[in-house]
Amino acid sequence: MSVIETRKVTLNDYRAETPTWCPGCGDFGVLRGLQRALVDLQIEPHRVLVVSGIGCSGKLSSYIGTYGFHGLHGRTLPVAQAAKLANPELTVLAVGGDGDGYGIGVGHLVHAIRRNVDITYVVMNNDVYGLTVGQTAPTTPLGRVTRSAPYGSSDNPLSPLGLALGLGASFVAQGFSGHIDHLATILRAAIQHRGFSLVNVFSPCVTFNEEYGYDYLRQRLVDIDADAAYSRLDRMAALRKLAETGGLVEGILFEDPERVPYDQLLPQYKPEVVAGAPRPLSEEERRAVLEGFSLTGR
Amino acid sequence: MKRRDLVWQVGGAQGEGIESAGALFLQIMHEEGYYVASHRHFMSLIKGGHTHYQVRVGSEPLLTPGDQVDILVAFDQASIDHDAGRLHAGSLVLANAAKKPELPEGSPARLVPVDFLALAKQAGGAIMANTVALGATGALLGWGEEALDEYFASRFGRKGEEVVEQNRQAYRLGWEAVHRLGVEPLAMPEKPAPGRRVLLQGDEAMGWGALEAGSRLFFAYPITPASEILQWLAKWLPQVGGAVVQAEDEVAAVNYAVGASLAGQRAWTATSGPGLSLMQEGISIAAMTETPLVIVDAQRGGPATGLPTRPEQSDLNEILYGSHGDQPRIVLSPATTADAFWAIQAAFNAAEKYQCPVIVASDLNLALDVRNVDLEELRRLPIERGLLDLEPGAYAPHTYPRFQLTESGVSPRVLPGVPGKTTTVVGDEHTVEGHITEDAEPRVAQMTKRLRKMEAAAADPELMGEALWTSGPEEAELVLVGFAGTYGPIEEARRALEEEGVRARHVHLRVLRPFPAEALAAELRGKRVLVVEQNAGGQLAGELRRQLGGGDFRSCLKFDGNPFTTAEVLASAREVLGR
Repeated sequence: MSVIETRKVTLNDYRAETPTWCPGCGDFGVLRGLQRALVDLQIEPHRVLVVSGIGCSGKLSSYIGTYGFHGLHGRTLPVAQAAKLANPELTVLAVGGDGDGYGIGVGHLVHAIRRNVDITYVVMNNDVYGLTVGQTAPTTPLGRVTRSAPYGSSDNPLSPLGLALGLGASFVAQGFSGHIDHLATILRAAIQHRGFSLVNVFSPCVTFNEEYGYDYLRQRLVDIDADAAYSRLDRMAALRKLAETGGLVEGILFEDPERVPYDQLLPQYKPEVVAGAPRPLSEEERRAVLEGFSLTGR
Repeated sequence: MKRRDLVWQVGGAQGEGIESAGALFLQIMHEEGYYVASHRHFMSLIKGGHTHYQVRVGSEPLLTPGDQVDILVAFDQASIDHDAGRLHAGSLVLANAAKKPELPEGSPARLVPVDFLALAKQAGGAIMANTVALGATGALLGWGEEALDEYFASRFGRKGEEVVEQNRQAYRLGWEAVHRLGVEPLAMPEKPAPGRRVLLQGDEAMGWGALEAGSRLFFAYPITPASEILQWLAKWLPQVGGAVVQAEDEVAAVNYAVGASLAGQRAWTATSGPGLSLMQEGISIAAMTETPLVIVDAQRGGPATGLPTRPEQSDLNEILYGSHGDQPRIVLSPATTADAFWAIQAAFNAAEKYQCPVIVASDLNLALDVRNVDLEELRRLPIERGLLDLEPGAYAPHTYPRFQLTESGVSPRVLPGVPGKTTTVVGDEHTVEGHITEDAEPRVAQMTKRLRKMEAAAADPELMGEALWTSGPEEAELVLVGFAGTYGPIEEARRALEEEGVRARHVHLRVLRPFPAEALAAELRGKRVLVVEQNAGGQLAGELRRQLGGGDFRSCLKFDGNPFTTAEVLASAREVLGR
């Protein structure tokens, strides 16, 4: 590749197609927050891969001027983790909605947390299934009436942050589309964190979930980043804070800078080999493989 | 009496060391310089049940593990009863004397009772019962009393001199027990000329082939009979700088492979029917986003559909037609262990050349049966990456024509990391630039573009030149057709027919998509056709009818959980011929 003149990365570099989200959709704020975080970090767009799933949130990868993959419902995390392993020089972001991440894809989330591959997972959480026009989500409160629960939801909502903290996630944060500056700060830290980062973002659905909108959140969210007494290195404190606020916190709840990322745990994994052009075994490697078999006529 | 081959089989309950006894005999014969072929019969449980390990030893390359059994080592009565039908007048049944073994009435075989367990205990431990059986085998084959002394030193040396000595003693006690009975030993086959041969499973051949193809990442969820690929690569990929990820499930495994491939890796996964069912959506997204993807499907009876650990070729319809939507999909199918080494390399080349999923249709016998292969049979292919566009560009974000309409249907592919060509590939229908669209015109243009790849692949001599393996005279009375692991029994049956003066031809399909319709039609025209396949529905025969516009084919089907024998194929062929 030829040498490219380095210049300052601007928001313009990160603009792509015009979003088709409803006016006022929380996902606009997530898009802005992400673009701002990447510009703040001066990462060039071609070094970023955004993997998305299905639904309104899935469209984000088309609206941000990076490389992108808009795949299957719930399957962002396997795609994103593997892309990072295949090319560790990429900044890899997985983005999705609450259905994508906490419903159909929650199994992958559990295992992604266990593995701790160095990617950032941003979940646009609006407590409802938007693009399929208003059914119950895994985060929908008990008793809430939706199109698929006309008598009120009978399922207890899932606490994504509690789940992540309980599983030993190395970076757990929560943001809000209505506070883009703060969200950008959180996302910056998440991208810089070496390991798996979960950022749950309250991203209101203005069409199907008015109750749980901007005003509701603005009035209730507790900013822990502004609390000098709060230590983000204490997992138990994070769980306590979550319980105290009923999950309505904003900021970086927990970070474990010591936890070893997955690639460093893989035996003898060489990023330069994996990311390089494919080549056959060298003579030496082939000899070793042959010696591993029972061979006659040595 | 000179013999060309000899079949030895050990049977007992699972967990009794039957598999290790079989593997031991196999390895010894291989290292002695013979051609070997084996089959392991096992059940879906860890301990108990019946298991056996069959080993055929020959002077020439072997196509199957053999129909009849010359020496049956039976640890229990069930092992005699299970395979009594495969014994002949010269067969010897080395049976566990302690269990009062009996041959079924009228059996032509001879019983040789030896108390494996008592002799093993005498040598130092019950665990050496299979070494005793090996000693008894040695006496039946005319080996010396100390034939394996050096072998035990090299195999058990690590565990200390005492273990080595105990095994030597166990071997001798088994040997003497048979010797005392005065049984006339069977002749060993003549030894072939020495050669460089490697003892290999189809699964291992694929793992190794993938390393030669430059693949350095593998993602899979354990499932019989594909797990051996995972296990083999887990050992070897780190040694060449790569990695294996054991995925949480098959859905993850296939999406992992898609993600790594998107980033430029020659990534792949391997599974069996039930896992393939779970992967189908991921296969669709690879086809739609034009991301290369390689999947090995080692067919068997499935846990939701029958006998989970037994040979079957009943995934064919799923391999060819599974998943939603219309999509290009290439299907290769190796015929032999050595051919598995070719198939996986060809799969990576085809996946990148046509930017689509490639499924390698394997099966349990091909995947797990161990045999030795002459090294020169393992064919290495050059790595072909197809249209990769890695030059930096100056495109505004998301204006690069990733899905450019081309005559071949294949568009230049960029990888993340290349400056000035950022693009988002989407699973929804999209424009040339990858933007989501629901307009009719780009939908039709993109769909026909993607499907055009199959026409290009069908015209690719590198691929289609490999589509059929044929043997026997072109002017034949009967054509036997098969795919994957039935190659051996079909080919042996054809040779047997040839010896009887019947002009029979064997056509084995190695590329199933694109379907080699013309070449196959030419082979079958005006002939009587017998399609040999291991399933109940005649899936391959159905596919031939569909692709060739009908046809009067007879089917030779088997779905009882056991591999085809040559005799069964032969009997079916004779029936078709009216003999």
